[in-house]
Formats: sequence, C-alpha cells, structure tokens
Amino acid sequence: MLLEVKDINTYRGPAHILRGVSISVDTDEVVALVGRNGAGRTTIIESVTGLLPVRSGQIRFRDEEITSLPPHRRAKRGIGYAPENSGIFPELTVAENLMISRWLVQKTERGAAGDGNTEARAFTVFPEVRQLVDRQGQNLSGGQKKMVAIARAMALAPYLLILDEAFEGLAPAVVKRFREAVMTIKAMGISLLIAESNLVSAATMADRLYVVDRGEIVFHGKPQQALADDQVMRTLRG
Amino acid sequence: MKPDPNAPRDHSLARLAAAMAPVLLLLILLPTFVETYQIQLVTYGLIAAIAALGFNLLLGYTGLLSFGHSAYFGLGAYTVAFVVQRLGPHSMEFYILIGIPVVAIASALFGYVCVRHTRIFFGILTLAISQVVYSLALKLYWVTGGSDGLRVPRPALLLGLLNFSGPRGFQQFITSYYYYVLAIFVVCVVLMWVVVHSPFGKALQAIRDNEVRARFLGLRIRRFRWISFLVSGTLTGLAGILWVPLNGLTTPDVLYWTFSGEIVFSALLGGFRNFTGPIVGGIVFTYLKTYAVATTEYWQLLLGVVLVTLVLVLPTGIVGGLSTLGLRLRKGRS
Repeated sequence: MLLEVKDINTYRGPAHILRGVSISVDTDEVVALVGRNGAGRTTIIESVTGLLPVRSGQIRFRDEEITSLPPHRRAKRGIGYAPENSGIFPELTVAENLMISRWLVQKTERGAAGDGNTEARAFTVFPEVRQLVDRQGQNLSGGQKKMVAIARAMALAPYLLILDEAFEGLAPAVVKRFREAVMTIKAMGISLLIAESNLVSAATMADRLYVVDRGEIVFHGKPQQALADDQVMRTLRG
Repeated sequence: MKPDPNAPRDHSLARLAAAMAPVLLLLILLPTFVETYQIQLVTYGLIAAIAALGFNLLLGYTGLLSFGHSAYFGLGAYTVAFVVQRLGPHSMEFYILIGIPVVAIASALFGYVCVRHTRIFFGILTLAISQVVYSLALKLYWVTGGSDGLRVPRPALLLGLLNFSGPRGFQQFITSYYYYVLAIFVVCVVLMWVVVHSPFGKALQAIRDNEVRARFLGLRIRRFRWISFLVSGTLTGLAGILWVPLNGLTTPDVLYWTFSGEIVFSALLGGFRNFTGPIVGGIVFTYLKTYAVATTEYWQLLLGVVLVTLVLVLPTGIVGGLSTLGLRLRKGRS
C-alpha cells in the first residue's frame, strides 16, 4: 500500500474534526474523498501532508511511518500537493515556481535517479503551461493557476499527488481538460488522492472513493456502488 | 507598442553588468573631478549601500524586518578595533579575514534564536539582542573603551603594498580606500545578485509570500530563514569592518537601535522591493544625513519629515517610484 491512514483523530484548535478516519491509496490508483463543504476532506488532506498535526492514529507512506514528520519531509518523500487555492507564489514567474520544485527534487533520491528535468513531467501533463513560463503568478487566471499548481507538484516527481478541489470554479470545458490530465498522471504511474464535493465528477476519475461526513468516513467502495447507494446520496445532498 | 508586463525577465549576470557598467565607469572616474571630502562621502555611501544590501536580503526577499542590524555592523567595527589593539598588524585584509568569521558566527547564533519567530516578535527579538550588545559595549569599558570607543588608525592596503604616512597620507588613503571599497562593493552586488536569482533566493521569496505553501513544497522554512539571516548579518558586518578605518573610531553609537533605524531607513528610501533600491537608499541616506546635520541642529526632525513624506508619496522608494514613472511614460508614448 502506498498510503495508509489508520484511525486518525485531528483537531483544529479545540474542535475535534476528524474522528477515527482510516483511508488508503494503492500504487497506480486514483482515490477520491467526497463530501459536502465542512465535512472534513481538507482536514484529512492537511493531516496527510503534515500541515495539521494528528492527535492520535498513524500515517504510513511507502511502508514508512510519517505521522510525526514535518510537511517538508513528507514532500521530500514524494507527497505532492496542489491545494484548493492553487498556492502559486504571486511575485514569482511560473518558471521560477517550477524552478523551486526542480531544485528541491534534485536533492532527493528521485531527482538523482532521473535526469533531474522534472519540469518535463509537468509539461507532459499540461503542455499549456509552457506558454505561461514568463508570467508572474499574480497575472494568471484561476484555471491557469490551478494548472501551474498541479504542474509544480508534478515537478516534485511525487509518488502520490493530492489534489484539493482541483475542479472547483472551472468552466465545463476546462474541467474536461483537467480530467484528462488526471488520467495522464495516472498513466505515468503516479497515484492520486482527490478531494471533491461532486460525486458524479469524482466517479468519472476515481477507482475507489470515500464519502466523508462530519469528520467520519461513512462510505468506502467503488464509485458505481456510491452512486447506487441512497444513504450516500442523501448524505451528500444534505 | 505597449510594454508587456509578462515579457521574459532577464536575470543574467550580463544584464547586471550592462546596467552597472556606466555607473561603475562614473564611480571609477569620480576621484579625478571631485575633492577629497566628496570621495570620502561617496565611500561612506558605498559602505552604507553594502549594509543596506545585506539587510534587504532579510527584509525584501525573506519578509523579516530586523530592528537589530546595528549589532552586526557594530560587531564588525569593534572586531577591527580589537584586532588593532590586541593583534597588531595594520592590514585591511587581515581585518577582513578576522572580522568576517566573527560577524558570521554572531549572525548565526543570534539568527538561530530570532528566526524561530516572525513578524513583530522577530523584530523585537532582533532589537533586544542588539541592545544587549550595545549595553555590553557601553559597560565593559576596560575592553571596549566605553562611550569613548576605540581608535583605529589608517591600515595598509593590499597586503602592505599601499601605506599611508607623510603629509599627503590622508588624501592618498581616502582615494585608495575609495577604490578598495568600490571593488568590495562590486563583489557584494554581484554576489547578492547571484543569491537572489538562484533557486535559493526564489525559495526565500516563496517563503516571504506564503510560508505554508512553501512548506508543502518541501522547503525547510526555519533553515532557509536562518541562512538568509546569516548572509544578511555577515554582509552588514562587512560594512562595519570597512567603515571603521574610514571613520578612525568606533563608539557604542553604531550598536544603538537608532543606527539599526538608519539601515531600515536606507532600505525604505531606495525601495526594498527591488534589487537596486537599498544601494540607492544607502548612498542617498548618507548624503541626506550629512547635509541635514550640517544645515540644522534639528536634523532628526528633517529626516523624520523625509521619512513620513516617503511613506506617503513614494511607498516603493526612490527606485520603485522611478520604475513606476518610467512605465507610465512608456505607456503614455505608446
């Protein structure tokens, strides 16, 4: 198993957000976390990336315990993350945003093993980003920012790529382009963990999905099973 | 044709060389057409520019406002004074050789404590540490000379090749020392240009813009801030090392918080969000203060008015303001 999250409990301040959450992602697999706003999807992702410490439970990545590792160590071990708000550095150009990833990955085993040109991987997923390299982050549109965020995470040569609401606020034609990109990433042998609020959208990409509600996993299975489950549909509709 | 804000930005050393060449030529020729006093003033300006350049790695590129850079400038100056008093050789290269490791170690130690915090807490910590160093310099008078300070005679330059004695010794020293400082200034500018345009420099800017985003990319925030602090403090310390032979005396005043304020002022005056801003700020501030002191006993008031005006009218500093003006003029033409 690539990623194993076992029975984690996470708090935001005094608020107990995640209650005994367990999920897993296998190699070459696309897994979706589906839930309404405030259900706990982003909290699960922040627990996995290390941005939010877990109070109890265990997180293992590539057979190594990473529960108490800081975010930068997790990133170096191959967890890439494209957050909901893109996370592009506004005053740096797209090339400079990608340059940081390439520089960081060159210091890792993954960088040493390859030719070091991890930007090529990023351009394979989104060739459009090549046209944007000289633009500053603050001069990009919302969709372009999301593309660059995914490209930048890909330039880290991750084993697992986490996408938080990657399709939110995009035009339908662009969403289609992003779904193609997810399939390209999967074909490259990279696993994906995708947080989505739209079950139908998640079902078109995911091999498996988890439905999150009030900080707990209330469903786990194939997308078709979720779509056929009345209880799941009621939970997601509110 | 309209200027394209998305046009590729050239950050090569060739671009820096092309931009610096005319200014450098002017600075090289300067001693042929100005008097000794003006050469001395420009030398002070270049030293202030080195200090501001170092300071700005922390403020402009890492997003940390230090109110305690006087500590590194003063430590550089006092190290030279101690070397003169205890070790003997009056060689500028020897001062630099001893002084740089001392300020680097001090910056590394103080930086290690300070970068554990950000924003106001960082500023207060740097201020507090500089005030501790100031108090030590003031109270340990048997070592530091207290408020009288320590004298530093004119050193020999280029490993004793240039000595300055005799009736025209002072004038010769000023001119030679000007070229000496100018050479070090050019090295510092090139070095800083390389640093801020390297992946390390871009990582600092990423941390400045958003440390959470930088963290999930794999950047060790505290380590990067510490290295930035170390480089910044060392460069400011180098400015202190260069300053004291020119001044001939170091007193605890250079360790006091108001001197840190002058370094901050220099960066603000030139503009801390661009590379050349602190250089321009350092030189302009030196002239501004010198002429303000000569003009009125209320010179602090004058500097205060300039600072308030600057913040209100030119928030991006002289260089930032000129860049905006240039962009508007180009837009107007097209």
